[in-house]
Amino acid sequence: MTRIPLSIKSGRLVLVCVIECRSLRIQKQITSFILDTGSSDSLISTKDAIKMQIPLSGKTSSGDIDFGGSRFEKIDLQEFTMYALKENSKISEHITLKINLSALRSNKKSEKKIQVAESLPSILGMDFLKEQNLSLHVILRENIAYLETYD
Amino acid sequence: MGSQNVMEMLHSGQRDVEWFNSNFSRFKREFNNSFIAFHNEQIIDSDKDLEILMKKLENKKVDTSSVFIEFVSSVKTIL
Repeated sequence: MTRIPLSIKSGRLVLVCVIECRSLRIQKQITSFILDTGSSDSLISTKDAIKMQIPLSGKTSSGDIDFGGSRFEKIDLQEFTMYALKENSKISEHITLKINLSALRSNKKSEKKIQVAESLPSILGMDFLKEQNLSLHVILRENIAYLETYD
Repeated sequence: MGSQNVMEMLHSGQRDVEWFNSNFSRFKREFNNSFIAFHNEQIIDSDKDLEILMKKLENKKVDTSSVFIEFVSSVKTIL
């Protein structure tokens, strides 16, 4: 049984992790994801795609997606490797996961709409919990949140 | 980059996120509607335009692999 601790930030569940994707030549990058059980998909935000220099221009969209009040094109990416801290281990260790992520491409033109689109966070949706066989445990009043796997 | 570096990045990242959360009220006053880049519990740079912020980091030759970039706003976003 392995626990992956989550931070609670402004009522949101945050996973701090390192991700990389060798096939996209993305070296290890610190990043944070919001755990969003209201989302079916896991998405790299426009902000993080720009930071990681993920090439999105010219990529075929697999469909439109509404997120945070903005409409985006969904670009499916190759498999990423995610590293996250394990909790309660006497020796400090990390867990390694293979995850599927999509990126968001915005076609907004106005400065304000571009800023709103770029301000949205990366999220881990229900697909992440299902594919990784993770259960989500939250006790907000005690500031406790973690993911647990029995693998 | 080996396992040790991953652990360093994760521990440093945890500290940075805690630091960002505990200082968020101050950041809202100082950097409202701006993107800020931070690492090792320090603001590296900020700008209202993400592309300009990335250019500033590039000019400073900052390795962004351990840097967080967050948007600071007094307006809450509902996903």
